[in-house]
Amino acid sequence: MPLEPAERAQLDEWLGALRDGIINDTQFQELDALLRRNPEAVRYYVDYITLCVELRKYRPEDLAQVGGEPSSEELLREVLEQERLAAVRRAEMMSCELVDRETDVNERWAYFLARDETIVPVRHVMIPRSVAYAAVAVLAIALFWIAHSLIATPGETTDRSLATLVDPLDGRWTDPRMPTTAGAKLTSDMLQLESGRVHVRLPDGVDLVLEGPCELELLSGTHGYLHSGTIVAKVSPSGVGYTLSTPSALFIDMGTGFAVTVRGEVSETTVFEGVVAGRLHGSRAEHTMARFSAKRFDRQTNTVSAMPYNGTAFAASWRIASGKEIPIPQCTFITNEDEWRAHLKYVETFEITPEMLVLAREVATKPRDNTPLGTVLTFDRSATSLMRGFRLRTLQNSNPATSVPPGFVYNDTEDNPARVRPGFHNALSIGDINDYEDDDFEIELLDGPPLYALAFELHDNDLDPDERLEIIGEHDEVIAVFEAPGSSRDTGPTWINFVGIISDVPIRAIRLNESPDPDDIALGRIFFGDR
Amino acid sequence: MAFLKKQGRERRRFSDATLEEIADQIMAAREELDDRRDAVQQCLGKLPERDRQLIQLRYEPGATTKSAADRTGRSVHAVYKALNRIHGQLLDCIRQRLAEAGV
Repeated sequence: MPLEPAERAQLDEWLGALRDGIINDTQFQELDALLRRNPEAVRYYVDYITLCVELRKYRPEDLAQVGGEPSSEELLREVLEQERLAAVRRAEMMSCELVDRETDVNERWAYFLARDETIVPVRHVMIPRSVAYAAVAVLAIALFWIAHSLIATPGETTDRSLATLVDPLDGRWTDPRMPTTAGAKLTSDMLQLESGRVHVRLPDGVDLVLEGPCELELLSGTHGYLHSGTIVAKVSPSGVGYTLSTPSALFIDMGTGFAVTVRGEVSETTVFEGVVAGRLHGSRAEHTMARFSAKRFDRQTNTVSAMPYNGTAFAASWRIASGKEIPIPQCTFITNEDEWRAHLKYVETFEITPEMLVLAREVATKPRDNTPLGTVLTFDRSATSLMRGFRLRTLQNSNPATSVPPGFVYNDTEDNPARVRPGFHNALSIGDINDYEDDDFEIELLDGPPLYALAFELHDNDLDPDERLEIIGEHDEVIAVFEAPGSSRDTGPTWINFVGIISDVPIRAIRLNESPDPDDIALGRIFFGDR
Repeated sequence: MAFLKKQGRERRRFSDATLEEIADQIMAAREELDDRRDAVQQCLGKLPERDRQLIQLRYEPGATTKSAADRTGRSVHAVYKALNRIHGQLLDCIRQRLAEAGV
């Protein structure tokens, strides 16, 4: 049945509203009814959605191709394949048009997803009807979603009340007509805050604190678009799935608290609680961020990079949004080995023995007592069979007389060639024993899974208050500093202190900074723990 | 997937019958993708420069109707209406091209 001009005009209007996310329930129901009863309307709708997808890929230089050589079929197949894969990904993550259904469509989709990586689409390939049906259904969902979420973003003011002003705080709206009374309904989709903070609540249990200057567009009760500035979000269980778009990325909350800051085409996300999934526009890669993590999504460079967690920067807004203090990652210092191990499910131990030391890249033969080993010892996973590779480095100043930095010495007997000094047995002396040195050293993780628990034996004949142990995070940030890390000043005849660390954020390295005094320090067994 | 289900209950969605119709039509559209893409490019080439710029501003990554309005100095409503008009023109043009190509 051909579309009547009036129907066509109405359809154009609805599709425009759909594209910009401002279609209301009645319009949507009427659109659905029209599509259900008129196949020509469906065709028109699909043409429209397909056009939107093409326009998303449109660049002016494409016009140069007009009238020229057509794109190769192979390239178009790739385009189609990418669309299909993107559709699956988007549908999997974002859409719920089918998964919530009890029909066999669900099963077909699952079947399709299971075959996701093996299907080669398009012409000349026979695709089972059920799979094809599921594929196009997923594509439909994705296109629908694209129209709603990626392409769409309204600027229209409607009569909907999408949010409540919980507390105007010290916020100052750009538009002086905006409400400033606690409890007021916000009827504008566009929240432009010039300065200060405001506390806003969405109907489904999403608390937002906007930090001015900030521009947030409310696309719906479950979807916002942050044009610029910072928002801090606390999402209650009923609001799980809240989606925030930015010029560079899209984020989906999974029951959590987080902050997003937008500066141009860069979005920085910091997660305080729970998990947030993010995706750079134009990319299929999804990035899951757990608590105490932060990532930068840069659309200009098309990169996503981890950044140091800095929850304190959002402490005030988080307190307003959640009524709680900002979670700060803890780093615990434990001097009892049993207590440290009690926190862990699995511990790998690296013994300081000739058999293990010879596994270092820099060591050619098994060292004997009092063997200098240089300032760097690198242990690869492939050599040690441990889960992680690591590097030991001495960080001492060079010997003024020789300008040579003191290195490690295995079983140092410098002060008494007849026997290894107690506490220096099965240990790496940091430099020699006799000279006045600052016996600084570092243990650095090279690869392997994130490390949250590290321990080592510190063979030390004395501990001074000015000795420091620094815990370094993955972004070279100092997670924690512990003074005089040994368990006691006088460690008795073994002179062995157990130094255990358990951290909420991954540890990249530890550095012991010892005072330049007559103390002699050696490094004993090293432990890598997993919770 | 619980959150998706949850979100699904909150979202507008087409009926099963409509989705099935859409799925069938998209299958057909996939078969025509080569022709359709050519038609889109040709039709874009026929747009006035001002309209083409507006389309580019609206569909570049991260853009919105508002950002397009901001950059053109026009009101959001005006841009919204203009986009509806341009989409309609493009659809008419594309359909005509496809018909001429026997698709």
